[in-house]
Amino acid sequence: MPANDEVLRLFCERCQSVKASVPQISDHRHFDADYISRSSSMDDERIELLAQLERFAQALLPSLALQKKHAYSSSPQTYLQSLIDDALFRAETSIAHVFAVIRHERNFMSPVSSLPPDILHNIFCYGTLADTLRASWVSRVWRQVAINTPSLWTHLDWNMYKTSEFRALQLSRCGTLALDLTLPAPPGPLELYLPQQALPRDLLSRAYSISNLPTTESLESVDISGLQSLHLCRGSYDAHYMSKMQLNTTHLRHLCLELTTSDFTRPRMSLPSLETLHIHMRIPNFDLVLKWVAELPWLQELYIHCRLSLSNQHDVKTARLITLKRLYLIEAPQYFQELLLDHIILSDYTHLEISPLRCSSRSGLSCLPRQIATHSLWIDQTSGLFIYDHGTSTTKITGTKATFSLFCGLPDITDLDNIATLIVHRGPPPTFNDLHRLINLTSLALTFHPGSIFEPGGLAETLNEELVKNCPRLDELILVRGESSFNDEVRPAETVISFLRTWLSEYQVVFGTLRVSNAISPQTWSDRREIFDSMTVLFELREIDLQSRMPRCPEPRRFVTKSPPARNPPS
Amino acid sequence: MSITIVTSDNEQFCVEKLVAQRIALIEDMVENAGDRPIPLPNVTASVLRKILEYCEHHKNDPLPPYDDGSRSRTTHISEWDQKFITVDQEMLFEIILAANYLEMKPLLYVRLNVPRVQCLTACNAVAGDIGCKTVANMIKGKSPEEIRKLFNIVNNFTPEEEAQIRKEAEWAEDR
Repeated sequence: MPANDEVLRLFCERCQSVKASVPQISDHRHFDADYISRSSSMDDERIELLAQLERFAQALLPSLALQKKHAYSSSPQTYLQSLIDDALFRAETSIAHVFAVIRHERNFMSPVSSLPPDILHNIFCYGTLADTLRASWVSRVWRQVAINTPSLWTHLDWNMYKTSEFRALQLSRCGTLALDLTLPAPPGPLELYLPQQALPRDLLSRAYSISNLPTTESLESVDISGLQSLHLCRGSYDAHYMSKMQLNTTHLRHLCLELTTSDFTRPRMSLPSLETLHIHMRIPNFDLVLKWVAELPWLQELYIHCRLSLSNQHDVKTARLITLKRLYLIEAPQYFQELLLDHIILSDYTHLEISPLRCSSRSGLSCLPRQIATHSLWIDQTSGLFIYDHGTSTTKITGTKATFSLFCGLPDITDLDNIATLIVHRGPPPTFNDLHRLINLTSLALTFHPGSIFEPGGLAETLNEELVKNCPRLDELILVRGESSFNDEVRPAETVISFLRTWLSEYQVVFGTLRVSNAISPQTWSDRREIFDSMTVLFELREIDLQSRMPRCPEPRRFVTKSPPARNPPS
Repeated sequence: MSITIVTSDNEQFCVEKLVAQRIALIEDMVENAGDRPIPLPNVTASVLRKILEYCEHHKNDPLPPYDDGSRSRTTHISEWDQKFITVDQEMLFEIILAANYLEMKPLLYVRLNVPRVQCLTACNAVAGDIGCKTVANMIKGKSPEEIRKLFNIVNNFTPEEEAQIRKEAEWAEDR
C-alpha cells in the first residue's frame, strides 16, 4: 500500500521534527513575544500533524481487516509473536512520546503556564509534603519544580510514608538540607510502652527539628549540633522519666516538654540558647519551673499548660522575665495563675495569653507594668474573648461568655479607667452601668440588635444621660447593626438623637464622630441625616467590620505539624 | 507630588509618589526619568489598576507580624484581600507576575527608607504573595487530575515518567 507508506514516512519525519523542537522545561516564555509569534505557526503544524495521524490510522484499519489468514495456525509462531509485541511496544512508546510533546506545547496555552519556576516554588512552599507530592504528579513543568526544590521535601513524617523506597526517594530529593523529623506519637497512658525500633542515627543527626521524641536517650552519642527544635513527648507513666532526661546543647532554640502523665522535676539540661519553652505538665511544679526559666537568658516564649490543681508551693521567689516576648498560660488552675502572675516581672513588650482566666481578683494581675498602658479593649462575647491592646503588647484572655441577653461584664483585672477604646464585636451591648468606670473612654464601638426581645431596653440602656456624664472624653461612637429579625430601627435612631441632644446641652458642643454601619437598612438613618449632621462633627453611614479591628496577638509556636496523608494517587 | 506611569496598552496613570515608591522597579526609574512618564511595557492597565488598588488599601499597614521563619507558613488571607483577589485565573496569574516583576514592598519600608534587599526578604504581605497563597489554597488537597482540570492543562508525561510516578504513588500508599 504505497499511499499508507507515504503517509507513514511523512509522519515519521514530522515526528522527528517535533521531537527536535522539544522545549526545555526551564524556559520561561511569558514575556517572549518572539516565541508567541513563532508558536502559533508551530501549533498549526501540530494540528495538521495530528489530523494526518488520524487519517493514517483510519486508512490503515480497512487494510488490516483484510488480512485474516492468520486466524489460528497450529504451527507454533512464538518468535513472530514476540516480534510483534516488541514492535507494538516500540510504536506505542514512540507515539506516546510525540503526544507528550504536543500536550506539553498545548499546556503552554493555559494561563497557569505563565507562572515561572520561582513563583511555582513560592506557591508550593505553602503546601504540605502531600501537596508537594501531588504537585509533582500534575505535569512535567510542575514536576521539575517540585522535585528540584529540596526544601519542599525536608519534612519526614514517620507516621505517613512508611515504605523504605519512599523514604529513600524523599531523602534523595532533600539533597543536603537538614530534616524536620516527626516520629510516631507515643502510646496512650493505658498502653504498654514498647521501646521503639532504633531510630537511624544518621537521620537524627541530620535533623534540625524533631517531634515526638520519647526520650533523650535516643540522642546519646548522636551529633545534635544542628538541632534547633525538639519536642519531647511521653505518653505512658514513668515517675522517674524527667530525672533521666539529659540534654546539653548550645544550639537548641526551641524545646517542648509534653509530660501528660509524669511529674515535672528539674531536668538536667544545659540549654543556653533556648528561645522557646513549652511545658505541658500534670501537676504544676511552680517554683521549679520558675527557677529554670530564670536561668534561660534568651527566652522569648514561655507556654505553660497544666491540668491538676495541687497547692504545694511555698517560698517562691519573684523572677524578672523581661526578655520574654510571649507568655501563655493554658488551662492553668486559679492558684497557679495568681501565684505566677504575682511572682514574675514582665516588660511592656510581653504579649500575654491566659486561657481561661481563673484568677478573679485584681491583685492577680496588678504586678504587670502594662497597667499603666491599657489603650483599647476588644471583646467577642460569643467566644468569650477579651483582647487588650497596650500599644507595645497585647493581653488575650478567654473568660465568661455572654449569657443570653446580658452583657458579659468587663474583666476585673485591669484599671478600667485606662481604657480609651472599647470595641464590642459580638453579643449584647454594654449598659451605661457597665461603662461607668471607663472615665477615659474616647471611642465606643458596639453591635446593636434593633427591636430584639433579647434586648429589652435596646440602645437606650447604653446611650443615655449617665453615659454622657460618666464618659466626658467620648468623641467617637460606632454602631453596627447585628443580626435581628426585626427591622425597626426607628427606636435606635431616636435613642442616638436623644443622646446627641443630651451631649449638646451638657457640654455646649456638638458630639465628635458618629459612624453607623449601613450594611442592612440605612434608610432610617439617612432620612434623619440632617439632624445627625447638625449634632455631630462627622456623621458617616458606611460598612464597618469590627472583626478586623481585633488586636493581633502572636500565636504560640507549633511543634508538631499535622499533615494529611497523600491521597488520590494518579490512576 | 505625583508620577505618570504608562502601561503596555498605552494608558496613563497618575500616581502619588509615595504609592509609586512602593514599587521598587518604578522607584529606580523615577530618578532617571525626570518629568517624563515612566513606561511599564510588561503590565497592562487592568492589572496596574488592581495593583494600585492594593497599594492604596494597604498604605497604612503596620509591620508584618512576628515571624522567626520556623513556623509553617500560613495561607490565611484577610477579608479585604480575599475580595481583592477574587478574580478570574488569567487576572490572578497576571497580578502575581506583575507584583513579582515590579518588586512590590510594604509602604512602611518606603517611609523608613529601608534598603531594598531587606525589603524583599522581610516583606510578606504584598499583592503577589496574596496571589501565591490563593493558588496554594486552590490546589490544597486536590488530586493531580483535579488540579489539571482546574487549570485546564493535560497530563503530558512520557511513558517513562508515568511509570516512575506510578511507582512513587505505590510507595507513598500506606501499607
